[in-house]
Amino acid sequence: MPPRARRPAGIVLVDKPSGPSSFALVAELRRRTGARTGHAGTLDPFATGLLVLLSGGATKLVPCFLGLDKRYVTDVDLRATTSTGDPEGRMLSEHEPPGEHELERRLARLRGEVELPIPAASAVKIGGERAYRLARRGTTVAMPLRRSQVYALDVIASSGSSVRLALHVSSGTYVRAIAAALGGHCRTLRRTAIGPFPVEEADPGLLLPPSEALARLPAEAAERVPAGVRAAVLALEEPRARLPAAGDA
Amino acid sequence: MKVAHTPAELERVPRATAIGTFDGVHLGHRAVVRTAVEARGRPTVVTFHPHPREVLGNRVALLASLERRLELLAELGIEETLVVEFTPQIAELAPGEFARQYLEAIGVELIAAGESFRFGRGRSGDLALLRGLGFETAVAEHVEGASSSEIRRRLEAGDIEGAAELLGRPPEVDGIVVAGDQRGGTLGFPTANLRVDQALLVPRFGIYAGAAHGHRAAVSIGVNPHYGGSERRVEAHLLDFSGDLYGQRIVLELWQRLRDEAVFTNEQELVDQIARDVSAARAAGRPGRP
Repeated sequence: MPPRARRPAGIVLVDKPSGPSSFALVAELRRRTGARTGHAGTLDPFATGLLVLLSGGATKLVPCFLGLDKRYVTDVDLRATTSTGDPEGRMLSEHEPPGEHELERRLARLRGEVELPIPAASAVKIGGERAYRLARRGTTVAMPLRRSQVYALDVIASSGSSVRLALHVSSGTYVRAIAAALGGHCRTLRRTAIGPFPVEEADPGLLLPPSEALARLPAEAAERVPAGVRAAVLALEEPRARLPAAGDA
Repeated sequence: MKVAHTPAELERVPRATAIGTFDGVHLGHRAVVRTAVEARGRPTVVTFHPHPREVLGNRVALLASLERRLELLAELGIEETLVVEFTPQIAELAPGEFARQYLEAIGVELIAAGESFRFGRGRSGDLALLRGLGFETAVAEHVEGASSSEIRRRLEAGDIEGAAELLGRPPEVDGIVVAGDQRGGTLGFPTANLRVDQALLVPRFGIYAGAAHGHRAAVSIGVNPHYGGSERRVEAHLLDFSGDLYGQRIVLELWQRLRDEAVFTNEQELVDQIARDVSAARAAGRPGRP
C-alpha cells in the first residue's frame, strides 16, 4: 500500500493531558497534517507531559530522539505499593510511610547507577508471554532488572504520606520502579523534559523544522541515523510553520 | 470525528475504510481500524446500527452503546464515520450494490478488514469480491480469540479479567445517573444509580470493583435481593468522592468481580460487608492492559 505523505516534515512537541493514550495524540496530529506520523517514546495514559511527535519524512529521525535522558516530576504515595507502580495496579502492601531520615536513606540508594526491576505491567514479555498474563494465572515471576542512571532525585515537596520528586534520569529508567523501591506508587507522573526539549516549549500547533531540532541534539544522538538519511529529511524541510488546528482538516 | 448517517453527508474523497459492526471495539476490531488509520486516505469507518443480527431476528446484548463505540473509534484516529441504519432492505442488498451505494459514493479506495470479513446478501461479499470491484484491500492481523460473542460469554459468566484481555481495556457499563432509592446514603455509602439502556449487556449479577470519573468504585449489579428488589440495577459507590452526578452520563469501568449478591440477616451485616467491598475496591487492579 502506498505510504502516507512525507510532508509536512518536522517535529511537534506536545503536552499530553492525563487520560488519552499517546496513540490518540499521534492520531490527532496525523489528522491535522495528513502525513505519516510517529513518536519518540510514549507515556502511560495516566501520565502527563512531553511527547516528541514526528511528522512526514521526519519520522525517519525517530532513533535520534529515542535514547535521550528525561526529566520527570512525580507525586509518590508512600503508604502503599501496587502491582504496576501506578494508581491502576492491585495493592500489594499497605504500611506507615517512612520517616524523613528513612526516606532520605532510601533516596540516597537510588541515585547514580541503579538496577531496578521493570514494573510488572503491560508490554514486557517473559519467556515469550506477557507479564500480566502470567500474573493473572497466579504465576509469580521475577521481573527482569534494568540498569540505568539517576542523575538527580530531589524532594521538592512533602506531606508525610506523599512526596513530590523531581528526577533526571537516563533513557529507559522506569519512574514507577523508583516509586516502588521507595515503598510507594506514583499517584501522578509528569515528563518535564526529553533531552534538550523542556515541556514549556510544547506547542501542538508548531512544526519545528528538522534542522532546528537536530542542531539541538548531542552529536551522538543525531548520528544514530546515517548522514545520508538525515540529508534526505533536510531536503524536505520548510520554514517553521503553524499547523491547522484540530478539526480544520 | 464527524458522524454521518447517509453517504450524502460525506464528501467524495479518497478514503481508507474499515467496515464492520465493531460492537465493543475489541482488540480484533482495533487491529482492523488501525490498519485503516495507517493506510493512505482519510481514515473512515462504515458501521451498522442496530446490530445486524438483531435486525435479522436474534437478540444481541450489546457490549457498548453506539455513542461509546463512536468515542472509541475517534480515539483510534478515525476521522469520519458513516453509521448505516441496518434494515432488512440493507441485508438484502447484493454486495456490489452495497459497495456502489455506500463505499464508492463517498470515495472509498482502500478497505481494511479481517480475513473472514463478509458482507451483503447472504454474506456473499468478501475481500476478493471487493478487489474485483477495483478496491484496494488491506488485511488486518488476526487477533486470536478476540470475538464479541466470546466477550459476551465471559461477561455473562462474570469473568471480568478474561473479557478485559480480549477488549484490551476493562469492560464498561455506560449510563445516565438517575434518582435511586436513596438507600445507600442512609447506609453511609451513597451510590450513583445508573440507567442503562436495555439493549446493553451487563455482566453477571454480583458485586464488582471498578472505577468512574477518576475514582475507584464499588459496584452492585443486580436486583438488591436484601431489599427484595426485582428490577435490574447498576449502582456505583465512588470512593473518596462527594458531589452530585444526577443527570450526568458516566462510563463505569469494571475491574474485578468481588462476590455474588447476598441476603443478610440484618442491616449491620450488610453495612459491614459493603465496608469490606470498598476495601477490596481500593486494592483492585485495572485489568486489560495492552
